[in-house]
Amino acid sequence: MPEIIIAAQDEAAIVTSRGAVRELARALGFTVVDQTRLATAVSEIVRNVVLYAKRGRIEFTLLGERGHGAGIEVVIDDEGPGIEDTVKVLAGGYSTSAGFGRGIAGARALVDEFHLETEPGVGTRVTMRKWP
Amino acid sequence: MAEVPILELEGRLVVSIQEDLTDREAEDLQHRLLERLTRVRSSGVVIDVSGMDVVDSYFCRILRDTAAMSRLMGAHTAVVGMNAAVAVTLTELGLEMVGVHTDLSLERGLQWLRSVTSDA
Amino acid sequence: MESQSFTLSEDRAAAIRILAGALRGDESWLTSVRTALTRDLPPEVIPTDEAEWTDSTRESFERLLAGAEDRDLTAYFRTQRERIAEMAAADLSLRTITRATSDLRDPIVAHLRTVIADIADQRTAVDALDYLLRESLIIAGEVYATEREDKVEDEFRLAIRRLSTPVIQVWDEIQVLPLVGVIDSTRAKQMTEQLLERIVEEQARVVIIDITGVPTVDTAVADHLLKTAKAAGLVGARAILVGISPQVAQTLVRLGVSLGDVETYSDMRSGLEHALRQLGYVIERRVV
Repeated sequence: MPEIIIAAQDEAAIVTSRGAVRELARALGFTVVDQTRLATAVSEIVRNVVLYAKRGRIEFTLLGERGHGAGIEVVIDDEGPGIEDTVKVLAGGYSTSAGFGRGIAGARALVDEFHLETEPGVGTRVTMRKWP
Repeated sequence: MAEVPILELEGRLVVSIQEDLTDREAEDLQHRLLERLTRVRSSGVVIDVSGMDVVDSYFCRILRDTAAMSRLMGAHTAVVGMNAAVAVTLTELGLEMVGVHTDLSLERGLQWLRSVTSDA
Repeated sequence: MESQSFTLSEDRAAAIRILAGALRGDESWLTSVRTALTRDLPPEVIPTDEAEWTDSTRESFERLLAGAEDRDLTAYFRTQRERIAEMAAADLSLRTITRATSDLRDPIVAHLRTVIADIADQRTAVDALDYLLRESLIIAGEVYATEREDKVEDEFRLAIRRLSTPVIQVWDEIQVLPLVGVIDSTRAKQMTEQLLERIVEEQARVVIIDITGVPTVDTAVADHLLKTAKAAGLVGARAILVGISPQVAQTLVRLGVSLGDVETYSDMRSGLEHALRQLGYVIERRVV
């Protein structure tokens, strides 16, 4: 059951979701740098959604303990164009272009678990998990 | 929309960002900064980001572009005050601040501007 | 601990009602208690506003009475625990709390002896008071055991982190980080985070990273070092790498690894000399 759900419709959602995940991470005892990593990862993905997808949603859920405590799962869903070449995107192949998919490789480096599900023409779902 | 104030100090423009900006606010800041450069013949710009907890790839691009644009207009730019967490995160994201001098604080940023614009 | 319940027997509940009745009727005891507490506890804990303190004491009192009515003091002791936790978090010593709690006894017992006529009832009320004070002391002990544990654990973890990345301030604005052992990605992360914090804390302009003690320097390690150097650059510090042995130099070139524009030297002396020079120092030797 997600703790927080944010609609990703306009650019305000980027700042909102960033702040929300940071607060959540802080409350769970994440170090400042991990709070920053997670918030930055969320910012990267949510911006993709806001800029390129028609509609989207961000869900935050608490995860069971691992290491130093409970973790956070962020699921970002959208009904956007989807990603054609996931291999290239995950490898950071889009880092120099201005298209959709940029920021995915970056976000991946900042979290513990990263899953990408996509269907061109239908949408994309990014799942990120991080523990303190 | 919050307008980040642009101050003048020792003939340089100083911008102090106290909180995370929306994309629009960031773009607006860039625009106003460049406008100001046309009106005030300034030798340098210091952008203080010490109030920002998160700096993502988009904002990095804005900073890089702003520095490049200011340079074309004759002014050097220093971006100062990134906190340790932001610095570590940006490198892990693989982002480079090419063409931008980055430094610890406003004081250091001004020192650097003095050193690059002096004729000695 | 927190889920401990305090249900009361009918006798004890009745005893507390007698105690409460005696304290409620005549509130002169509040002044003597406040005097005792002000003597033992620092001003931050006792509100200087007497009315405020009286109100909060009365509130606590009402809770006690309600608990006695329900024959359940769980809620009352939970609030006691919270208050004690606040004091522990404010760094009050357990001894202070203990002394304050025992010092409460005399003024209240004196008051009870004055207002309760029946000797048997007096004894019952004093017993009830002792019960409350005793339980509070036990709670204080528990709170301090866990609170201190958490604090000690946090400080411990912090100390371990700092020790794992021993950054030495060798001169104004020059820091040295000697690395020993294998640098895997976890260690690299910790190292970068710690180093960055220290650079910002001490406002370093140059950081000399000594890799003499690192057995293998391959593409991965070089990548970690490069990332660390870049992060340092973002906060205005130049990274210099020293301790490059002939073997490491050969490996890096053969692997085609580029260390970007990070200066590298084989020995500390060269690194230090360049660092000082970069900061504008001139080293002059006076013949003795």
